[in-house]
Amino acid sequence: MKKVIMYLNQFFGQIGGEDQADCAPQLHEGALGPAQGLQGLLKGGEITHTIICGDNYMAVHTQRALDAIAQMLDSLEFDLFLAGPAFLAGRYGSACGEVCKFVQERYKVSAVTSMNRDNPGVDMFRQDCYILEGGSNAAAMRKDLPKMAAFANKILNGEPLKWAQAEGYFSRGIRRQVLLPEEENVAERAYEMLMKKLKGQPFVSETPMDVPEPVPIAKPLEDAGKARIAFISTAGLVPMGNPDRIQTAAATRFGRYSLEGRESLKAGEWETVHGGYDHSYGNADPQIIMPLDALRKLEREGKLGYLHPYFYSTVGNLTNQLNAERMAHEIIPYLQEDHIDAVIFGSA
Amino acid sequence: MMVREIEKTGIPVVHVVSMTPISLSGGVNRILTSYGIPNPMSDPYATPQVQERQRYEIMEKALEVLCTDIQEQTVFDH
Repeated sequence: MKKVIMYLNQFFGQIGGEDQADCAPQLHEGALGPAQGLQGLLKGGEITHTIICGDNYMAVHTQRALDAIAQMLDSLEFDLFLAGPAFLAGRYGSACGEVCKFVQERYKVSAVTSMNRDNPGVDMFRQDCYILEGGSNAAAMRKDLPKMAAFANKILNGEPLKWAQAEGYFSRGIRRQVLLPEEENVAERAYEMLMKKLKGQPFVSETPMDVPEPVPIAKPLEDAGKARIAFISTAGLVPMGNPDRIQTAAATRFGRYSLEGRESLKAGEWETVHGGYDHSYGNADPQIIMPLDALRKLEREGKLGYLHPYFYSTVGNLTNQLNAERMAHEIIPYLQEDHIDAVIFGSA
Repeated sequence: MMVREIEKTGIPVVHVVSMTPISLSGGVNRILTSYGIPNPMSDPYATPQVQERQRYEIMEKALEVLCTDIQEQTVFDH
Protein backbone atom coordinates (compact mmCIF):
# COMPACT_ATOMS: atom_id res chain seq x y z
CA MET A 1 0.00 0.00 0.00
CA LYS A 2 1.46 3.35 -1.04
CA LYS A 3 1.29 6.35 1.24
CA VAL A 4 -0.47 9.58 0.43
CA ILE A 5 -0.45 12.89 2.32
CA MET A 6 -3.18 15.45 1.88
CA TYR A 7 -3.21 19.24 2.31
CA LEU A 8 -6.38 21.15 3.23
CA ASN A 9 -7.17 24.68 4.41
CA GLN A 10 -8.75 25.50 7.75
CA PHE A 11 -12.26 25.35 6.35
CA PHE A 12 -12.11 21.99 4.61
CA GLY A 13 -9.89 20.70 7.42
CA GLN A 14 -12.86 21.45 9.72
CA ILE A 15 -10.96 23.74 12.09
CA GLY A 16 -13.13 26.74 11.36
CA GLY A 17 -14.02 29.49 8.93
CA GLU A 18 -12.49 32.90 8.34
CA ASP A 19 -11.77 33.27 12.08
CA GLN A 20 -9.27 30.41 11.79
CA ALA A 21 -7.64 31.56 8.55
CA ASP A 22 -4.52 32.61 10.49
CA CYS A 23 -3.84 29.19 11.99
CA ALA A 24 -0.37 27.72 11.48
CA PRO A 25 0.13 24.32 9.81
CA GLN A 26 -1.03 21.29 11.80
CA LEU A 27 -0.40 17.63 11.13
CA HIS A 28 -3.15 15.09 11.74
CA GLU A 29 -2.94 11.35 11.40
CA GLY A 30 -5.29 9.76 8.94
CA ALA A 31 -7.77 11.33 6.52
CA LEU A 32 -9.92 14.31 7.48
CA GLY A 33 -12.72 16.14 5.64
CA PRO A 34 -12.57 15.64 1.87
CA ALA A 35 -9.58 13.36 2.40
CA GLN A 36 -12.02 10.83 3.87
CA GLY A 37 -14.09 10.87 0.70
CA LEU A 38 -10.93 10.56 -1.36
CA GLN A 39 -9.65 7.67 0.74
CA GLY A 40 -12.59 5.51 -0.35
CA LEU A 41 -11.74 6.13 -4.00
CA LEU A 42 -8.01 5.46 -3.87
CA LYS A 43 -6.80 2.10 -5.10
CA GLY A 44 -3.46 0.96 -3.79
CA GLY A 45 -2.93 4.07 -1.68
CA GLU A 46 -3.73 5.15 1.85
CA ILE A 47 -3.97 8.70 3.16
CA THR A 48 -1.75 8.44 6.22
CA HIS A 49 -1.76 12.11 7.23
CA THR A 50 -3.60 15.35 6.61
CA ILE A 51 -1.90 18.73 6.89
CA ILE A 52 -4.15 21.68 7.60
CA CYS A 53 -3.12 25.33 7.35
CA GLY A 54 -5.05 28.59 7.43
CA ASP A 55 -5.23 30.33 4.05
CA ASN A 56 -4.12 33.69 5.44
CA TYR A 57 -1.22 32.13 7.30
CA MET A 58 0.04 30.49 4.11
CA ALA A 59 -0.42 33.73 2.13
CA VAL A 60 1.25 36.03 4.68
CA HIS A 61 3.88 33.74 6.23
CA THR A 62 4.57 31.53 3.23
CA GLN A 63 8.16 30.64 4.07
CA ARG A 64 7.38 30.02 7.73
CA ALA A 65 4.45 27.80 6.76
CA LEU A 66 6.54 25.83 4.28
CA ASP A 67 9.33 25.42 6.84
CA ALA A 68 6.80 24.06 9.36
CA ILE A 69 5.40 21.66 6.75
CA ALA A 70 8.93 20.51 5.93
CA GLN A 71 9.50 19.70 9.60
CA MET A 72 6.36 17.56 9.55
CA LEU A 73 7.16 15.79 6.29
CA ASP A 74 10.90 15.22 6.72
CA SER A 75 10.29 12.26 9.01
CA LEU A 76 7.38 10.80 7.01
CA GLU A 77 7.49 8.49 4.04
CA PHE A 78 5.01 9.13 1.26
CA ASP A 79 4.56 8.44 -2.45
CA LEU A 80 2.06 11.10 -3.47
CA PHE A 81 0.94 14.50 -2.23
CA LEU A 82 -2.58 15.82 -2.81
CA ALA A 83 -4.02 19.27 -2.08
CA GLY A 84 -7.51 20.75 -2.30
CA PRO A 85 -9.69 20.78 -4.38
CA ALA A 86 -9.57 24.58 -4.17
CA PHE A 87 -12.39 25.38 -6.64
CA LEU A 88 -12.45 29.13 -7.30
CA ALA A 89 -11.03 30.11 -3.89
CA GLY A 90 -8.05 32.30 -4.74
CA ARG A 91 -6.12 32.11 -1.48
CA TYR A 92 -6.73 28.37 -1.15
CA GLY A 93 -5.71 27.81 -4.78
CA SER A 94 -2.46 29.73 -4.33
CA ALA A 95 -1.80 27.84 -1.09
CA CYS A 96 -2.37 24.44 -2.76
CA GLY A 97 -0.07 25.42 -5.65
CA GLU A 98 2.59 26.78 -3.30
CA VAL A 99 2.61 23.63 -1.15
CA CYS A 100 2.52 21.25 -4.14
CA LYS A 101 5.45 23.03 -5.78
CA PHE A 102 7.42 22.97 -2.54
CA VAL A 103 6.74 19.30 -1.81
CA GLN A 104 7.51 18.21 -5.34
CA GLU A 105 10.84 20.04 -5.38
CA ARG A 106 11.93 19.00 -1.88
CA TYR A 107 10.80 15.35 -1.84
CA LYS A 108 10.73 14.51 -5.57
CA VAL A 109 7.22 13.15 -5.12
CA SER A 110 4.36 13.94 -7.53
CA ALA A 111 1.92 16.54 -6.25
CA VAL A 112 -1.61 16.98 -7.54
CA THR A 113 -4.22 19.61 -6.84
CA SER A 114 -7.50 20.72 -8.40
CA MET A 115 -8.82 24.20 -9.15
CA ASN A 116 -11.28 26.04 -11.28
CA ARG A 117 -9.90 27.48 -14.54
CA ASP A 118 -10.33 31.04 -13.24
CA ASN A 119 -8.52 30.45 -9.96
CA PRO A 120 -5.40 32.69 -10.01
CA GLY A 121 -3.46 29.71 -8.63
CA VAL A 122 -3.77 28.02 -12.04
CA ASP A 123 -1.58 30.51 -13.88
CA MET A 124 0.78 30.81 -10.93
CA PHE A 125 1.49 27.09 -10.54
CA ARG A 126 0.35 25.17 -13.63
CA GLN A 127 3.98 24.73 -14.68
CA ASP A 128 5.02 23.42 -11.28
CA CYS A 129 2.55 20.63 -10.53
CA TYR A 130 -0.50 18.81 -11.86
CA ILE A 131 -3.57 21.01 -11.47
CA LEU A 132 -6.73 19.19 -12.44
CA GLU A 133 -9.56 21.29 -13.80
CA GLY A 134 -12.25 21.55 -11.14
CA GLY A 135 -15.60 23.19 -10.48
CA SER A 136 -16.24 26.65 -9.14
CA ASN A 137 -17.44 25.83 -5.62
CA ALA A 138 -17.71 23.05 -3.06
CA ALA A 139 -20.87 21.73 -4.73
CA ALA A 140 -18.46 20.35 -7.35
CA MET A 141 -16.70 18.24 -4.72
CA ARG A 142 -18.67 15.18 -5.83
CA LYS A 143 -17.23 15.50 -9.32
CA ASP A 144 -13.77 16.82 -8.51
CA LEU A 145 -12.84 14.19 -5.90
CA PRO A 146 -13.40 11.17 -8.19
CA LYS A 147 -11.38 12.98 -10.90
CA MET A 148 -8.56 13.57 -8.45
CA ALA A 149 -8.75 9.96 -7.24
CA ALA A 150 -8.65 8.56 -10.78
CA PHE A 151 -5.57 10.62 -11.60
CA ALA A 152 -3.94 9.78 -8.25
CA ASN A 153 -4.59 6.08 -8.86
CA LYS A 154 -2.73 6.26 -12.16
CA ILE A 155 0.30 7.76 -10.44
CA LEU A 156 0.11 5.32 -7.51
CA ASN A 157 -0.07 2.35 -9.84
CA GLY A 158 2.63 3.59 -12.20
CA GLU A 159 0.28 3.89 -15.19
CA PRO A 160 1.54 6.14 -17.98
CA LEU A 161 0.02 9.62 -17.91
CA LYS A 162 -1.31 11.11 -21.12
CA TRP A 163 -1.22 14.74 -22.18
CA ALA A 164 -2.97 17.55 -20.35
CA GLN A 165 -6.19 17.55 -22.38
CA ALA A 166 -6.61 13.78 -22.14
CA GLU A 167 -6.02 13.69 -18.39
CA GLY A 168 -7.92 16.87 -17.54
CA TYR A 169 -5.08 18.89 -16.02
CA PHE A 170 -3.90 22.33 -17.09
CA SER A 171 -1.08 22.17 -19.60
CA ARG A 172 2.29 22.53 -17.90
CA GLY A 173 3.89 23.87 -21.08
CA ILE A 174 5.86 20.67 -21.58
CA ARG A 175 6.02 18.84 -24.90
CA ARG A 176 7.00 15.21 -24.59
CA GLN A 177 6.94 12.37 -27.06
CA VAL A 178 4.75 9.48 -25.95
CA LEU A 179 4.29 6.14 -27.63
CA LEU A 180 0.69 5.01 -27.70
CA PRO A 181 0.53 1.58 -29.32
CA GLU A 182 -3.23 1.41 -29.06
CA GLU A 183 -3.70 4.73 -30.86
CA GLU A 184 -3.76 5.39 -34.57
CA ASN A 185 -0.38 6.52 -35.75
CA VAL A 186 0.37 10.13 -36.49
CA ALA A 187 -0.10 9.79 -40.26
CA GLU A 188 -3.57 8.33 -39.75
CA ARG A 189 -4.54 11.02 -37.28
CA ALA A 190 -3.19 13.79 -39.52
CA TYR A 191 -5.10 12.31 -42.49
CA GLU A 192 -8.34 12.17 -40.47
CA MET A 193 -7.85 15.75 -39.36
CA LEU A 194 -7.11 16.93 -42.90
CA MET A 195 -10.20 15.19 -44.27
CA LYS A 196 -12.34 16.88 -41.62
CA LYS A 197 -10.79 20.23 -42.42
CA LEU A 198 -11.39 19.79 -46.16
CA LYS A 199 -15.02 18.85 -45.52
CA GLY A 200 -15.45 21.86 -43.27
CA GLN A 201 -16.13 19.62 -40.27
CA PRO A 202 -14.96 20.52 -36.78
CA PHE A 203 -11.67 19.02 -35.63
CA VAL A 204 -9.45 19.44 -32.60
CA SER A 205 -5.75 20.25 -32.90
CA GLU A 206 -3.45 18.05 -30.83
CA THR A 207 -1.05 20.93 -30.30
CA PRO A 208 -3.24 23.93 -29.64
CA MET A 209 -1.51 27.29 -29.39
CA ASP A 210 -2.36 29.38 -26.37
CA VAL A 211 -3.97 32.44 -27.91
CA PRO A 212 -2.44 35.33 -26.06
CA GLU A 213 -4.20 38.46 -24.95
CA PRO A 214 -3.94 41.15 -27.62
CA VAL A 215 -1.25 43.75 -27.02
CA PRO A 216 -2.41 47.36 -27.35
CA ILE A 217 -1.35 48.63 -30.76
CA ALA A 218 1.55 51.04 -30.31
CA LYS A 219 1.12 54.46 -31.90
CA PRO A 220 2.67 54.76 -35.37
CA LEU A 221 5.73 56.88 -35.99
CA GLU A 222 5.01 60.42 -37.14
CA ASP A 223 8.08 60.63 -39.32
CA ALA A 224 10.42 57.71 -39.96
CA GLY A 225 12.98 60.27 -41.13
CA LYS A 226 13.27 61.48 -37.55
CA ALA A 227 12.82 58.10 -35.84
CA ARG A 228 15.42 56.07 -33.99
CA ILE A 229 15.17 52.48 -35.22
CA ALA A 230 16.63 49.19 -33.98
CA PHE A 231 16.83 45.89 -35.84
CA ILE A 232 16.22 42.54 -34.10
CA SER A 233 16.24 39.12 -35.73
CA THR A 234 15.31 35.59 -34.73
CA ALA A 235 16.79 34.11 -37.90
CA GLY A 236 20.01 33.16 -36.13
CA LEU A 237 22.59 35.37 -37.88
CA VAL A 238 25.79 35.51 -35.81
CA PRO A 239 29.45 36.43 -36.35
CA MET A 240 31.37 33.52 -37.91
CA GLY A 241 32.16 30.94 -35.24
CA ASN A 242 29.09 31.84 -33.15
CA PRO A 243 31.04 33.49 -30.28
CA ASP A 244 27.99 33.63 -27.99
CA ARG A 245 27.16 30.00 -28.66
CA ILE A 246 23.53 30.78 -29.51
CA GLN A 247 21.70 27.45 -29.56
CA THR A 248 20.37 26.17 -32.89
CA ALA A 249 17.04 25.34 -31.25
CA ALA A 250 15.29 26.21 -27.98
CA ALA A 251 17.60 29.21 -27.64
CA THR A 252 18.12 30.77 -24.24
CA ARG A 253 20.62 33.42 -25.37
CA PHE A 254 20.81 36.29 -27.81
CA GLY A 255 23.76 38.19 -29.26
CA ARG A 256 24.26 41.96 -29.40
CA TYR A 257 26.42 42.80 -32.38
CA SER A 258 27.93 46.18 -33.16
CA LEU A 259 27.08 47.90 -36.43
CA GLU A 260 29.30 50.87 -35.75
CA GLY A 261 31.40 51.77 -38.77
CA ARG A 262 29.72 49.10 -40.88
CA GLU A 263 27.93 49.88 -44.13
CA SER A 264 27.03 46.30 -44.96
CA LEU A 265 27.38 42.72 -43.70
CA LYS A 266 29.79 40.63 -45.73
CA ALA A 267 29.72 36.95 -46.58
CA GLY A 268 32.34 34.97 -44.69
CA GLU A 269 32.14 37.22 -41.63
CA TRP A 270 28.67 36.00 -40.61
CA GLU A 271 26.84 32.71 -40.52
CA THR A 272 23.38 31.53 -39.59
CA VAL A 273 22.93 28.94 -36.85
CA HIS A 274 19.13 28.61 -36.85
CA GLY A 275 18.39 24.87 -36.74
CA GLY A 276 15.11 25.09 -38.63
CA TYR A 277 15.97 26.13 -42.19
CA ASP A 278 18.54 25.81 -44.97
CA HIS A 279 21.52 28.07 -44.23
CA SER A 280 22.92 28.32 -47.73
CA TYR A 281 21.29 31.68 -48.67
CA GLY A 282 22.07 33.34 -45.35
CA ASN A 283 25.67 32.14 -45.37
CA ALA A 284 26.14 33.24 -48.98
CA ASP A 285 24.72 36.68 -48.21
CA PRO A 286 24.07 37.66 -44.58
CA GLN A 287 22.11 40.69 -45.79
CA ILE A 288 19.32 38.38 -46.91
CA ILE A 289 18.68 38.18 -43.15
CA MET A 290 19.94 41.52 -41.85
CA PRO A 291 19.77 44.09 -44.69
CA LEU A 292 22.26 46.56 -43.27
CA ASP A 293 23.16 48.15 -46.62
CA ALA A 294 19.49 49.01 -47.20
CA LEU A 295 19.09 50.44 -43.68
CA ARG A 296 22.25 52.54 -44.09
CA LYS A 297 21.07 53.84 -47.45
CA LEU A 298 17.69 54.81 -45.97
CA GLU A 299 19.56 56.51 -43.12
CA ARG A 300 21.77 58.46 -45.58
CA GLU A 301 18.71 59.50 -47.57
CA GLY A 302 17.02 60.80 -44.43
CA LYS A 303 14.18 58.27 -44.67
CA LEU A 304 15.35 56.57 -41.47
CA GLY A 305 16.41 58.97 -38.73
CA TYR A 306 18.99 56.91 -36.88
CA LEU A 307 19.95 53.25 -36.77
CA HIS A 308 20.70 51.84 -33.31
CA PRO A 309 24.41 50.87 -33.33
CA TYR A 310 23.77 47.23 -32.40
CA PHE A 311 21.56 44.53 -33.79
CA TYR A 312 20.16 41.76 -31.65
CA SER A 313 20.11 38.20 -32.85
CA THR A 314 18.76 34.91 -31.55
CA VAL A 315 17.25 31.71 -32.90
CA GLY A 316 13.47 31.47 -33.04
CA ASN A 317 13.24 27.71 -33.35
CA LEU A 318 11.25 25.76 -30.72
CA THR A 319 11.99 28.65 -28.39
CA ASN A 320 10.26 28.37 -25.07
CA GLN A 321 7.76 31.17 -24.48
CA LEU A 322 9.28 32.15 -21.16
CA ASN A 323 12.78 32.39 -22.63
CA ALA A 324 11.46 34.50 -25.52
CA GLU A 325 9.84 36.88 -23.06
CA ARG A 326 12.94 37.01 -20.87
CA MET A 327 15.21 37.76 -23.83
CA ALA A 328 12.86 40.54 -24.95
CA HIS A 329 13.00 42.00 -21.45
CA GLU A 330 16.79 41.86 -21.50
CA ILE A 331 16.88 43.71 -24.84
CA ILE A 332 14.29 46.36 -23.95
CA PRO A 333 16.57 48.35 -21.56
CA TYR A 334 19.17 48.74 -24.36
CA LEU A 335 16.45 50.12 -26.61
CA GLN A 336 15.13 52.48 -23.98
CA GLU A 337 18.60 53.68 -23.07
CA ASP A 338 19.13 54.72 -26.70
CA HIS A 339 15.62 56.28 -26.93
CA ILE A 340 14.58 53.88 -29.68
CA ASP A 341 11.23 54.82 -31.26
CA ALA A 342 10.50 51.68 -33.30
CA VAL A 343 11.82 48.20 -34.06
CA ILE A 344 12.13 46.26 -37.29
CA PHE A 345 11.92 42.61 -36.27
CA GLY A 346 12.99 40.04 -38.83
CA SER A 347 12.18 36.32 -38.59
CA ALA A 348 13.06 33.34 -40.72
CA MET B 1 6.73 36.17 -28.40
CA MET B 2 9.47 38.74 -28.24
CA VAL B 3 7.60 41.15 -30.51
CA ARG B 4 4.67 41.38 -28.13
CA GLU B 5 6.84 42.13 -25.14
CA ILE B 6 8.57 44.99 -26.96
CA GLU B 7 5.32 46.45 -28.26
CA LYS B 8 3.89 46.33 -24.71
CA THR B 9 6.42 49.04 -23.79
CA GLY B 10 4.78 51.31 -26.37
CA ILE B 11 7.50 50.93 -29.02
CA PRO B 12 5.85 50.00 -32.35
CA VAL B 13 7.30 46.88 -33.95
CA VAL B 14 6.98 45.68 -37.53
CA HIS B 15 7.40 41.92 -37.80
CA VAL B 16 8.96 41.02 -41.16
CA VAL B 17 8.07 37.36 -41.50
CA SER B 18 7.13 34.69 -44.00
CA MET B 19 4.83 32.59 -41.81
CA THR B 20 2.28 35.32 -41.16
CA PRO B 21 -0.37 32.98 -39.61
CA ILE B 22 2.04 32.24 -36.75
CA SER B 23 2.69 35.92 -36.27
CA LEU B 24 -1.07 36.59 -36.25
CA SER B 25 -1.78 33.83 -33.74
CA GLY B 26 1.09 35.17 -31.63
CA GLY B 27 -0.74 38.48 -31.37
CA VAL B 28 1.60 40.67 -33.44
CA ASN B 29 -0.01 43.91 -34.64
CA ARG B 30 2.08 45.10 -37.61
CA ILE B 31 3.13 42.26 -39.91
CA LEU B 32 5.03 42.61 -43.18
CA THR B 33 5.27 39.56 -45.44
CA SER B 34 8.87 38.65 -46.23
CA TYR B 35 10.30 36.92 -49.31
CA GLY B 36 10.71 33.49 -47.74
CA ILE B 37 11.73 31.50 -44.69
CA PRO B 38 15.48 31.05 -45.39
CA ASN B 39 15.58 34.31 -47.38
CA PRO B 40 13.44 36.90 -45.63
CA MET B 41 14.78 40.07 -47.24
CA SER B 42 15.18 39.15 -50.93
CA ASP B 43 14.76 36.51 -53.61
CA PRO B 44 18.04 34.56 -53.71
CA TYR B 45 17.53 33.66 -57.38
CA ALA B 46 17.40 37.28 -58.44
CA THR B 47 20.59 39.08 -59.55
CA PRO B 48 22.64 40.84 -56.84
CA GLN B 49 21.45 44.21 -58.20
CA VAL B 50 17.80 43.17 -57.97
CA GLN B 51 18.30 41.74 -54.48
CA GLU B 52 19.88 45.01 -53.37
CA ARG B 53 16.77 46.84 -54.57
CA GLN B 54 14.48 44.26 -52.91
CA ARG B 55 16.25 44.70 -49.57
CA TYR B 56 15.93 48.45 -49.86
CA GLU B 57 12.27 48.31 -50.82
CA ILE B 58 11.24 45.89 -48.07
CA MET B 59 13.00 48.03 -45.45
CA GLU B 60 11.44 51.17 -46.89
CA LYS B 61 8.08 49.39 -46.68
CA ALA B 62 8.84 48.38 -43.08
CA LEU B 63 9.31 52.06 -42.21
CA GLU B 64 6.04 52.89 -43.97
CA VAL B 65 4.25 50.19 -41.93
CA LEU B 66 5.70 51.67 -38.73
CA CYS B 67 4.16 55.02 -39.75
CA THR B 68 0.75 53.47 -40.51
CA ASP B 69 -2.10 53.92 -38.07
CA ILE B 70 -3.89 50.57 -37.70
CA GLN B 71 -6.98 49.59 -35.73
CA GLU B 72 -6.40 45.83 -35.67
CA GLN B 73 -3.71 43.25 -36.48
CA THR B 74 -2.73 43.95 -40.07
CA VAL B 75 -0.66 42.04 -42.62
CA PHE B 76 1.09 44.18 -45.24
CA ASP B 77 2.69 42.91 -48.47
CA HIS B 78 6.20 43.94 -49.40
